[in-house]
Amino acid sequence: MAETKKFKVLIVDDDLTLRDMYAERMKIEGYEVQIAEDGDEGVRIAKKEKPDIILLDIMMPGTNGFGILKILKEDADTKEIPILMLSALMQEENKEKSKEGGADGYIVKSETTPAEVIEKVKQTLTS
Amino acid sequence: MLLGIWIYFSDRKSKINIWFFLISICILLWNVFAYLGYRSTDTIQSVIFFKLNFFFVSLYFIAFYFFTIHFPTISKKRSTIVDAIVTILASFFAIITLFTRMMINNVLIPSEGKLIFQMGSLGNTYYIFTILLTGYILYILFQKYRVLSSEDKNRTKFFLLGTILYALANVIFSIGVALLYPENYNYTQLGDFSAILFLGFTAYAIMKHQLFNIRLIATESITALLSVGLLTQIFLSNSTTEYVLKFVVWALASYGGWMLIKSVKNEIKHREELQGLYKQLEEANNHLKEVDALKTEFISMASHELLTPISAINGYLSMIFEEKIVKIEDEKAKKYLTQVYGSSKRLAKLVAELLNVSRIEQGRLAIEKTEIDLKEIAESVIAELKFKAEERKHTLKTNFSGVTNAKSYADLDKIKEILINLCGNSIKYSPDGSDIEIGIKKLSTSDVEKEYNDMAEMSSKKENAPDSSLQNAIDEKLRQMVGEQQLVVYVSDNGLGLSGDDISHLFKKFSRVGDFTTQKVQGTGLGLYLSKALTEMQHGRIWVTSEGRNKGSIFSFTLPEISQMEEIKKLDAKVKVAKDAKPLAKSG
Repeated sequence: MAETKKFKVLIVDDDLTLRDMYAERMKIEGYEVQIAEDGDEGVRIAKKEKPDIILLDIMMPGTNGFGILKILKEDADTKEIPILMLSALMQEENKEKSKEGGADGYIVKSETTPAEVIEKVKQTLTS
Repeated sequence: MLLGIWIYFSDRKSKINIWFFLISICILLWNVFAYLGYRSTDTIQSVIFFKLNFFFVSLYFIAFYFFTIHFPTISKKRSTIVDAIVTILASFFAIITLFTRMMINNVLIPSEGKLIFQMGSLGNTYYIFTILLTGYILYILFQKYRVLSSEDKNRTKFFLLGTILYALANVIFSIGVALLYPENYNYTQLGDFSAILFLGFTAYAIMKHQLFNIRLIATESITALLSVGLLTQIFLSNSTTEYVLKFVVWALASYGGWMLIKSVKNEIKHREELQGLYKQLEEANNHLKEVDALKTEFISMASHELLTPISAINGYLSMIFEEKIVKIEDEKAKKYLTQVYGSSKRLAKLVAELLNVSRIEQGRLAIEKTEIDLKEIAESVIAELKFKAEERKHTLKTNFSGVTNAKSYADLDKIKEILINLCGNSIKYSPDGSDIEIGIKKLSTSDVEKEYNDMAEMSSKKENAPDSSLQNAIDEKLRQMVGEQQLVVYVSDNGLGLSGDDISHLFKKFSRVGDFTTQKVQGTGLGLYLSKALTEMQHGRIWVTSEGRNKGSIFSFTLPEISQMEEIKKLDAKVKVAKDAKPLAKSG
């Protein structure tokens, strides 16, 4: 089995329950995980650390996920980083919006096990 | 005059009534003297009469003015200066009329016809004064009218109407006609009598606090007129017999009129009561609808909130049990956590189902239709449930001999959900090692209706009515079956079976069959309800037939054939879709 490269993952989510769960799972998978508790912190860390992939929650206080998505995609430092939108909401229109905003994928937190999240991350990273 | 007395005595304290009383006295006296004046043969006497006539007219104006101020409620902007001016001027005219010749100069007796009086030098001034005053009074009335509440508006309307009519009549008859036709003094007398009209309207306006119904007014007026007419007739009778006869007629007519008025009043009262009840019913109904909507909204929101912690629980447990990231050495701990995992999966499923139920009831479930192959769906469902079936040593079979083409136009996701529900039930409710068959066949639409109605009849016989929230949420156009034939997918098993009683409870929310305490089966009670909703949203019907308890059962649901695709599209296009329609929630 090929060795998993040490990917850098940034999770931006204010809800610690699921955020920590995904972080845990990814650490087990061998990724280096960083956490931001709100959008602005997320942008800061993204610019500084240049992660390989960002998991971005939609419902956050302050600027919401779509707003942050826009900022990241417009910033030269971060626009190449693939972004997966994370959401508790399973609305078709959110998926549309994510695609239009330039996100590379959309994960519904309540319907996806951590294992499936890893799958999705791997898919995105290798494509 | 009678009116005046009547009103006065009905409420001595009210200022309105006092002024009205005074008005009526003045009008009476003025009319009396006018009459006397015209009838008199002595010049000097008639002059006096006419003077008295005009004297009382002036007084009348004072009373009229003050009455207007007080009716129906006291004017807010009263200027005492105006009050004073009016009173002084009117009194001035009154006194002059009486004691000088400036108003009434002389009386002329023409060769034939009635007497006419000559106005003195102040005559025209006087007329101008009266016109101005009347105009001003009308102005006050209009101001009041605009500001008042509706009930008072009605009364004021009447007074206004009476006043206008009176004013117009007076102007026309007393002045206009006098100027145009100096010989016809009969008409000027009419002007005086128009005051009676005025009195009538005003009295009515004062007395009536409610019931401004036209019919009632008409009835009362006619009755009153009739009564008065007949009464006067009595006094004109020539013989005792005639007198008695007319008296009897008057008594009967008055009584009859009185009864009529009472019955009209009653009818109006009943009508208004009915209106009131109707309004109450409407309000209660609206309230119920609101409550129903709130309830569904609440379930939707609560489900959302529940999802996050449930996802966390399931997530960690799946990492333990599915991915085996962590090993649990302690056997007991492993056993307990396995139980927890099972429960949390069931919880997740329940929340997802609740969410779907609330979405359907709110009309927020998204349907995406494509061409689907029922045979393929059946196969894929069997593959998905294989594990569960093997656990119970069941055998899942298919029987597609009934059809060659099992294609339909529907939402793949939803159909799969229905089939999973039905098969899942069969797996759960059959004794170990049973055979479960999934088949596809065709039935004519009328046969489908028959089967469905047979079952529906059983349900409606029981006390619990069908779920109305479902009926409200699913548009009839979506429910309508399309085409001559329907594709029928059925799941047949040898399980617990259902009695007629059981069947009547099925397809309702949270209904489960059997004795729950002894059953080892786990279920939410929402599966069939959801299945029914999903079928009926796609032009289908779902029903069950069973020989009885322990004799197995066959659950069937229908879908239109693919050949009906255009027809379906047309029907669906007519139905409004919610903007935020969402797909089915899954428990992951």
